[in-house]
Amino acid sequence: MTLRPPRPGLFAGRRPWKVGGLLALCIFLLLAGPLTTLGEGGSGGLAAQDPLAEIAERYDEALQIYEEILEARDRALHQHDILMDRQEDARRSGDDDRSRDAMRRVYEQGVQVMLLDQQLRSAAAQLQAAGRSYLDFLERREDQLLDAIEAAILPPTRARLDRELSEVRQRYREVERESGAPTVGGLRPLPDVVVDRRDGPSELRGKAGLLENRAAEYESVIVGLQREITSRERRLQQERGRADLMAGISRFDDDALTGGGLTRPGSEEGGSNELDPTAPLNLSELPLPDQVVLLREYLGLAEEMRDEALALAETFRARADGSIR
Amino acid sequence: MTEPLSRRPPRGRLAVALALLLLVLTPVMAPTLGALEGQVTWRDFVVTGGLSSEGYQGNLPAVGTPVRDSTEFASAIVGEFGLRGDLAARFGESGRGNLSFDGGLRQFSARGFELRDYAPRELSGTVELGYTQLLTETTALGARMRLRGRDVSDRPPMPLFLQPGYRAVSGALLGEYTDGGERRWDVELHGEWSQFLAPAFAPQIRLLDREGTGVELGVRPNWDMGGEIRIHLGGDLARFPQQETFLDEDPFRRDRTLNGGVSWTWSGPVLAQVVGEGRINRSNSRRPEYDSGTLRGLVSASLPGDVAMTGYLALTAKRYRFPTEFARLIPGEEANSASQAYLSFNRPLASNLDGTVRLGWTRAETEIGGQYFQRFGASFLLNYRPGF
Repeated sequence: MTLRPPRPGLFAGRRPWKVGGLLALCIFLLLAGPLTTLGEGGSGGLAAQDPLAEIAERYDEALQIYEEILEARDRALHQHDILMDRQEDARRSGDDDRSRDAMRRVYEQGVQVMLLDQQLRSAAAQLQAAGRSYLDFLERREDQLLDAIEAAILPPTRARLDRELSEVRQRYREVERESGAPTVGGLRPLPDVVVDRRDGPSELRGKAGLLENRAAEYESVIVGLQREITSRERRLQQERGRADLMAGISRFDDDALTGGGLTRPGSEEGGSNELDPTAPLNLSELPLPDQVVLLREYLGLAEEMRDEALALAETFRARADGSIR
Repeated sequence: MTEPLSRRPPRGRLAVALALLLLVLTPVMAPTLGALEGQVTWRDFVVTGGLSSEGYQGNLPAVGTPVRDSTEFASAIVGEFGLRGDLAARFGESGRGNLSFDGGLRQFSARGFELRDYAPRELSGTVELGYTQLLTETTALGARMRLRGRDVSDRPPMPLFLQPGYRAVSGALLGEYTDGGERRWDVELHGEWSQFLAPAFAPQIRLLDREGTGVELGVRPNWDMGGEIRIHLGGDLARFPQQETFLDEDPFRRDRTLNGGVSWTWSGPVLAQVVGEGRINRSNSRRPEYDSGTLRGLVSASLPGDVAMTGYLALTAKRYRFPTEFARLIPGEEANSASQAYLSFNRPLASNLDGTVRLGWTRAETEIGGQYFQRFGASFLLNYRPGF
């Protein structure tokens, strides 16, 4: 019987250091695998940081713009409150000229608030969009980190990934809070009055009176606004009538009979001289249709505030009278 | 049927003009194109349709009309449709672009002539593109390009005058400067090329082809007198390549025109504008030399019942330096001493819809100097503004 020589093993005939090296390489690959996978979440390695940085930068920019406009809007709103108080004083003084002047300042400031509100809405929309992109990215990053932690073997690697995961989650909460439901505007809030259990009828009537005073303030603003809107609508109609007439005459060259042959654009009525392209923010500098839209928007808000104040006042009075509990 | 044309304008020039505009505007606008998104707004968009009844008086000979026909009085029912819009765009913090267009169709059904009735149809269209850049707090520069075209079919004889068809391209460079005293200065360099579409039986209309350049300087002095005043002074050079002078050393007509005027605009309960302008026209050709003056007034006011009234009046006086016995050219060119009056009443009929009643009168010089035709009419028009 002949014994067959033993089959050479896998490492038979190889030097031990080579075997060790191979094992080390395998272990390295095992450890490195999760990191590589983590990197593949972006476009690999260092390049993966670029989209994150870009998205974060876009978000920070949108947040900064939003906060600046919000601050400006709040300042304008505060000024509006002051002017409302002055207007109320002027109304009570019985000085019609002073009252009219104060009223004009109130609605001009109110429109300024509206304009800033418009900008704020646009900035809020951009902030939300940038926030959504950022949150999506952070979610993907979180998933990748969780996968990486699961695959990681060495404790230091796990610890590092855990830290990063914690940072990502913290950032996620911040972005969610900042961009979730940004303030988008509004007018002066109603007085902060609530029904207290200790309030007796006189306190409740006092609070109702406070609300009714505020409603009266808004009522006088509303009357002024309606007058302004009517005046601007008339003006708009005049301007449109004029524009339609001149367009009708020049469309078929009926005006060419009055001199100079073919009409030269912009040389006569209608003007070519509106050269200032700076963005106007004052009401009177806006095109008339925009002025009317803004004033109507302001009117709507003022009416809403007045109605709300009156409804609340009614509730307070009803409680004071004991008709509701 | 469109009149046969002895010559169409070379389209190459239009293409060249457009290309030049793009060449000028693109480098200026390119850096800020990225900021355009969301900045384009409609300033106005109006669809107009309506009917008119018109009468024309004056039995006068004509040069540029297709047939020899005559009448003391003609009348027409006219239907018209028009569309105009104005788009504005902001380019960054200091640039502003503007695109406006206006087009229309007017169909006449004219009666009262001896030989036959006429059914002229006018088609017209204008596109204007402009760009303005604020350079400093006090200085702005701008450019403007305008294309205009017009076609007329079945053009009737006098006294129903309709301007002949043409193609025109014009452009301008504009500048504005506000000095420390708050005076606003503006300057405009402009050029124009126009070519008339001449039917085979009236090639003389081609004589009106014109190429011109000019400059206008204006100032708003900010006088404390209510309203705004603008004083302007300008000069134009026009060349008529189809009009010969019969002088070997200077074969084609060239005109030099000096014009100046004052306009006053006031916005209060009533919108008012008055423009007075004078022109001195001198030529290397003896016939067209003239002095003329025009006074225009435009007033808009509100009336009870949500009605707005607009009145427009233009009065022109003109004196030729050398009287001639032979026919001049057609109205709208040299015979431009018309007086016009329009009165319109408009009121809202529904949301975005205005109704307008318009009355008009024109008294204009014919090809024979010192003789006039009159046109008067009443229109009912609907103007729809979709409001976007």
